Amino acid sequence: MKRTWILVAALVALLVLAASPLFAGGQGASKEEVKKCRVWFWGEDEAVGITDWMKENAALYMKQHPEESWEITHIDIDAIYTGFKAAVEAKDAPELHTAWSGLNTLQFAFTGEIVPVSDYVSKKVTDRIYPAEKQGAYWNGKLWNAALYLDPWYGMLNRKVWKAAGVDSDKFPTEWKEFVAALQKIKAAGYVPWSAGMKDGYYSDFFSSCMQYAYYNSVDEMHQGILGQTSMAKPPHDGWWYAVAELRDKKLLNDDVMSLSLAEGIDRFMKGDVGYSSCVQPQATMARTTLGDDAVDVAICPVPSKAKLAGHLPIPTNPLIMPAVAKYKQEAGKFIEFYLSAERQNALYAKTGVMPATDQVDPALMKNAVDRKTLEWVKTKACFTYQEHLPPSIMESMFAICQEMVGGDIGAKEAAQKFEDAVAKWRKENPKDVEYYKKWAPEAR
Amino acid sequence: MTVSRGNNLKGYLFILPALLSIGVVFAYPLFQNLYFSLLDLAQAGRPFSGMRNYVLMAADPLFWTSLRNNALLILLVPVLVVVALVFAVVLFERVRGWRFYRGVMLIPYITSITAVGLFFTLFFQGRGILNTLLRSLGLESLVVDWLGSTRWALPAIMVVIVWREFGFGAMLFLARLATVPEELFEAARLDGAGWLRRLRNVVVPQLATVIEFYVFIMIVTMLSWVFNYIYVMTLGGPARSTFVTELYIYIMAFRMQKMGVASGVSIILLLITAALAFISLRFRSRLLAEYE
Repeated sequence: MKRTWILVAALVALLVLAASPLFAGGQGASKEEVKKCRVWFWGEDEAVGITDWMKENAALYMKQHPEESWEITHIDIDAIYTGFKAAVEAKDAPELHTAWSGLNTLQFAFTGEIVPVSDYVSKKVTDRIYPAEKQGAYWNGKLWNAALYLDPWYGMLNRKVWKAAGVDSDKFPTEWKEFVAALQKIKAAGYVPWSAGMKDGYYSDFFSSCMQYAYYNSVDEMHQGILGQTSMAKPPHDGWWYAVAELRDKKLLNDDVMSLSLAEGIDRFMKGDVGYSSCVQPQATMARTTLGDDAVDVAICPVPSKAKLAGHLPIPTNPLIMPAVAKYKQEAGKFIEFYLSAERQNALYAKTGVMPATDQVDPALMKNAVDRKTLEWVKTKACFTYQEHLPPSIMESMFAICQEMVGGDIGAKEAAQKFEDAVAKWRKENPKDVEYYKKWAPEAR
Repeated sequence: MTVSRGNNLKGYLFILPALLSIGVVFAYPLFQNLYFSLLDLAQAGRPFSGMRNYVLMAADPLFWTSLRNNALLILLVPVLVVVALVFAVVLFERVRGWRFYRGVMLIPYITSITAVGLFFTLFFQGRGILNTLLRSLGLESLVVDWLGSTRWALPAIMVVIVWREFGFGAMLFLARLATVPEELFEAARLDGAGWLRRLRNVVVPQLATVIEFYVFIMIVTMLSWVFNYIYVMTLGGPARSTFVTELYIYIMAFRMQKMGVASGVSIILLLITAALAFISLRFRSRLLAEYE
């Protein structure tokens, strides 16, 4: 009996030893040292081919760093914030995660859920990112995200439609009145002048971000409105509401604008019977692929404004952030440095046609006029992006108000007043966020 | 005495696994949610905020719009009962092809809400099937952007809900009718009762408990199971005119990052549903007592 017990005890001891890391060390030491890093990102919907580019980055990087393994996961657009929140809550976040820039990123900095990218990426590298991409992503003197690619926010036009309507698209209007007159001619010729989709509300972002900045002399004016020093219901803040109302009143938007989503509104343009739509550069690239290089051009939407920023171009970015709970932050920093290298940035353009975020892209690679024009604007006309300076919780109100106005239930004046009320409500209900905003605003110039 | 105590303990041990799973699946999330609703989750360190989330919720007109829309959807329940009842009785009368209709009637109910929602989105869209049909019939004046209009979006969704949900009620009623002794209908017929009278005096009383059950299920559906319809068809728009409480919770939590407010609203929704369940159960037991 005693012998049996001794045998059992010995067996158990052997099993425990076999399972222990000490014992396993001899065989699998190198495997255990591999640092498993993850990237959860979004972009394929607009930058077709970016997932392949990211996977290529990972493969090349792992060759140089065999002690690291990089897993690339493309996430759904609706899961960007839900997925991030859930991962942070579970303390199992990836090393790098997608977020949009400006306050969309910094809302997580305020809550301590992310760490500054500039703590892990050398200044030499971040200095190469275009300044407009970093504007709004600084807080406490640190940069909180790293751009993946640029999203210049302008308009795309179908030259064939303009020509068929008897309007010269080569002389794209620089005045609002001329622009509206051109759209009216397009309508009279039987085409849809401007296609949009308001069902999900996101096109409100397109309207406001492609127009409202041009009513300001500087971003400070917008900050003053958000902080209540001036009224969002009055000039210069209310400009875009009146411009959109005019498009509505003159029936220059597609007649199904209210039942199409943002993506469907943009897709409407791809059908070839639409004159104009707001877009980001990757969407213009898609339109060129669908309608042909000679058919599609890009333009900056004119607005009735003589402010200093009129004629400039908002250039938001699709960046990556570093969750505070991520395990390998140093490694993530090095990975960012790798994908922001000149070679990888040029590979990004070659693979996807989207604008790389750093100034290292080789202009000789750009074979079409639209991209060359865009790059020129990125270098010379960049300015802040309205959406990135709007507290995220106000966006939802803006969507609803814009839907109400485009749907014909209210006019521009009422819409602007409702928006002012929404901003005032945000200030009242979120005193701490207002404090953060006040502190951040000077850094966001 | 000791034996009885031992038996009691044994009994509790038997139900322990069930209690544990209920605790993990229901009680833990419920209490966690309640706890979250008392915190300011948007701030670093998640400070205790007392009733602030509930105050914010009560001060938000969108919350009341959402509740109002849920209440409007509850008004669909009598419509659903009547439609389901009519279909059940007609099929019970074994009209020609009744077996076919019985099968067809259940198709909407077994089709996923997402698929139904997507189809009806295309149906009601500005350039959708309905408007194309109206135009081809020369009824241009009736063309409306059904889902894009603050006036028509909710009624359009209501039509879809009735279309999909009535089949379940009709099947329930039909199943119950099949168990009613034929003599009852025969006796009513011999007494000279017409179709309507038989419906009122025989069918409805016999179906009372099933109707009550269906009403309860549909009320809960209108409060807590309409998210899919709204999310797929309108996303709460246009201009928030089709927001319901579930969507409000979702938007608060994941778009506006107000997780505390979302937790508070889900507690309120649970309380409302529980209150209605309680009333329904009281009503049901009274009904059963009368029936017996």
